[in-house]
Amino acid sequence: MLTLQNVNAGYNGIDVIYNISLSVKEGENLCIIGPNGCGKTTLIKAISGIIPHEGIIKIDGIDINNMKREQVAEKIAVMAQISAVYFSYSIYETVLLGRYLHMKGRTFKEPSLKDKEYTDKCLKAVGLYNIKHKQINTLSGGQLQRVYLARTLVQEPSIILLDEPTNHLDLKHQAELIDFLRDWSKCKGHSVIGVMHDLNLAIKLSDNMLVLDNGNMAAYGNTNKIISSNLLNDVYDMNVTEYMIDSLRQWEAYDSYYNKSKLRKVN
Amino acid sequence: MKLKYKITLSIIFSIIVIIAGVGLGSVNVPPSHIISIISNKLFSAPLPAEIQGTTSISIIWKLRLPRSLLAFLVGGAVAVSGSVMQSVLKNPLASSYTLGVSSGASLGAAVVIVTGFNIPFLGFLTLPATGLIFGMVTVFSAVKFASMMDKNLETSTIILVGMVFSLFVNAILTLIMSIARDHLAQLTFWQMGSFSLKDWSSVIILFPIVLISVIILQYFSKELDIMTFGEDQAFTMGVDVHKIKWVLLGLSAGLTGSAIAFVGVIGFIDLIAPHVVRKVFGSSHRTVIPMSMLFGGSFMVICDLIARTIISPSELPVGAITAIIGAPFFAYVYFSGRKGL
Amino acid sequence: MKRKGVLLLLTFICIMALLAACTDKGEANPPQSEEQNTALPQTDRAGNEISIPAHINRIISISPANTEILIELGFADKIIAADEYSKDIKGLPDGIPLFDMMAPDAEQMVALEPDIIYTTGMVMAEGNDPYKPIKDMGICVAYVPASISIEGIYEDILFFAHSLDAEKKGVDLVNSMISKIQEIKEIGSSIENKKTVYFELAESPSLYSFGTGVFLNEMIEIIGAENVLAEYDMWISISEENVIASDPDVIITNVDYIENPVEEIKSRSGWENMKAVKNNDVYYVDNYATSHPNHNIITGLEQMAKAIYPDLYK
Repeated sequence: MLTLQNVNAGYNGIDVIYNISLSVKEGENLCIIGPNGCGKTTLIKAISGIIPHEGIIKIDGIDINNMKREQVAEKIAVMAQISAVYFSYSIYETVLLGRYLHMKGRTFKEPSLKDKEYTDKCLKAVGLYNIKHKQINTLSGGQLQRVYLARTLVQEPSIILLDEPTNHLDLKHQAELIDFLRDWSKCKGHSVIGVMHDLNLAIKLSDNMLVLDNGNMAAYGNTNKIISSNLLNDVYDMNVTEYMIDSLRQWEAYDSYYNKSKLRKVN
Repeated sequence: MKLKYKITLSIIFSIIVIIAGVGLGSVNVPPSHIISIISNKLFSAPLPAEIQGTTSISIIWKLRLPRSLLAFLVGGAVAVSGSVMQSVLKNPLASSYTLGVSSGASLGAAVVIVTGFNIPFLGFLTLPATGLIFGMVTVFSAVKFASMMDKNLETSTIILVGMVFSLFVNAILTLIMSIARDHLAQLTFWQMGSFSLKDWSSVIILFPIVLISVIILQYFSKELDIMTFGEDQAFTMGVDVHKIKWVLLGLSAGLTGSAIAFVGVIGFIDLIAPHVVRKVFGSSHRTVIPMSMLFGGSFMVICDLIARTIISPSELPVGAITAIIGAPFFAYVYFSGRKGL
Repeated sequence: MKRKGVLLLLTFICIMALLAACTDKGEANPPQSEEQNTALPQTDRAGNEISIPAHINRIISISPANTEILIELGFADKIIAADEYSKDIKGLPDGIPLFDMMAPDAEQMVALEPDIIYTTGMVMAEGNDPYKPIKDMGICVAYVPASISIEGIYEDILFFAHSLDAEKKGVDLVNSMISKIQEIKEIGSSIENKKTVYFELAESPSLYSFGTGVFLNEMIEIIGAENVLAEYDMWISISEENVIASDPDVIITNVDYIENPVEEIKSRSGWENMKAVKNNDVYYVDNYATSHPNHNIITGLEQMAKAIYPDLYK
């Protein structure tokens, strides 16, 4: 359970986001959307503790400023974005690193049996178990994202933060990722907080939506309510609904044609 | 080849290299004599009459053995330093040298040589200690400055800032050297890397410094692995990045600084050794750190051996040998894998 | 900006002077008169053709060895500028400008209006001759490269004397050298059990000494001793192992850039069992007297002789 009260945050003394208040309950997902530069990434960094903040951020009732690094990391994990890999490790090694929190207490920081088993479990969950010894610098974007996902899961957080996770993924992997995350949060009673550019995916994933505009909360609440209002048009300065439905119509047309010609493929 | 075998082979190879370093030299000393001398010194075994009182004893025990061990320590120290620097700064071109440690250390040495000041309880260690401190301060300043300019510490920033700091410190050094002409020769020679005229005292002092530093760095293997994925990411995974980063950088700069303080500037190994080691052993620091120590150490012993035997009885500067051999060797290892990938 | 203007002006004046002089080699010398001594040397010690002026009153000397010769021959008062390393030489006029030996300021030299500049060949080794513009302006530049043999030293001295129209002084100086060397040689050649000597010129980054073909080696032989490195040629860097293995009777050093070179050698790890160290036969000899190829080697010779055979040489 995460709550924010009147949170400001920024860089070099200049605030980028102002007065953000929200709460995310167990099993609920939140998507953060808005135009470029509105402060989405800053918000993620503030929640995860990477940058300092003013105001109050609480996890399960405790202010994160009063928590030690490890304690915060036990609850919140951030899924990495795909970027250049300088030094190559195997998939297994990379995911195992996510168990750091649990390993650092031991003298030699050795992985325990539980660590190894859990790693394998998460690898299976993302479908990488069979190639777990492959080097990560030989992977495709989709595979690499799954590695990072597994590593995030292996940290055993109750909240996962994501920053535009579908950027480098093709359609199939995008869909898989969103479905996976949704299942994970619903089945386990955890939460996913994601920054999204893609409104379709945001709608699929989230229960609640936070719309940011120039660092301020332009809207916050139930996803369906927000997308059915005209608020998005103001924020994005365009007719959002029109734009989204326009391409849907083409799909509809195709769909009815498809049905008419009765060429059904068996899946 | 499995990792275990690679590691075992590397250990055996290092031992052989050190033995070669003691066995070979510009003066011919038969292996049987060498063994007798070493047994005599270590185990008080009796010395055969033919060796007693000969110069061979001094050559083996006072010259070659400390020299080979010193070369191994120095080579290993700078190689480990390079590995850690590259991981922390996430940059294959990062090293204490590119960040100005050699200029800093030389400046420190210059100050001591020119002013002749002596720290009472350090005695003859004043010179290397000052060199070490100045070297580390330069590196720290460069890293701090670079991270203020560019949070992501891109390659271009590091190289640029390192170059600026090196040049600046070098300029001060040149100024001092031109004013204190009497010490010009001494200062110039101090900077040239050489294992000549070094004795057991260097080995005895450097050994604990290197051992402790490497052990501490080894302790942070996991953190180093995580940090190669980025500091922010490491932070969210529970690594106390801010504290650990400076410890790691400090130890790395300290390792290179100590090496320079005792033998002058011998570059190149700290840049290439990590790449070669990672290529062969993978990137896991638990292996990379000790293997860098072995590889860097062996490589340095081999280069020093070549420097002092190839145009016997003359000696070549060892820094030139490390570069001449190192560059093509590195190119071979680095690019031979490329085609496969 | 002002400095740039001065430079331009100077260059302009030089060019004008060059054109005005208008002789085939662009000499800026006074017109040749019948008084000119045609016996002046036609080539310098490096084999270049030169034209030495008849009357020399303004000399620039670039090399401490050359400076010492000039002073010894009695021409100290004519030296108007020298090099930085000549700074401490006794007899050098006070307050004269001192140039960087490797990269002398050509314009400043020209501005001093010297009659002749004596220099060594060392600067030329870089391929870029800093004296070329000076020569082109007609100023006489005589190269006297550092000689490596005693014979060469005699010829250098004679050349200097000859060029300054003071041959007798040169001959006298050389003769005094020859007789002193003869004295020592007589004692030296009678020695049967020759001592072995290691002569160190530098110790960083590695030991530096010499073999056959260098005047220092000749000096060792004159004294009646043997250089442990005689089997090698010219200057060489040598490894510690070789020196220790050769175990010389006497060690000599002329290193002057560290505080106490003799102590430093004696304290070297591995050297303590050498004959020379155990018997305290490690000596320092004057650096100038054993590195400047000129008349001062006699002083060096005497110091070395006393160090090697203290009982035989005074």
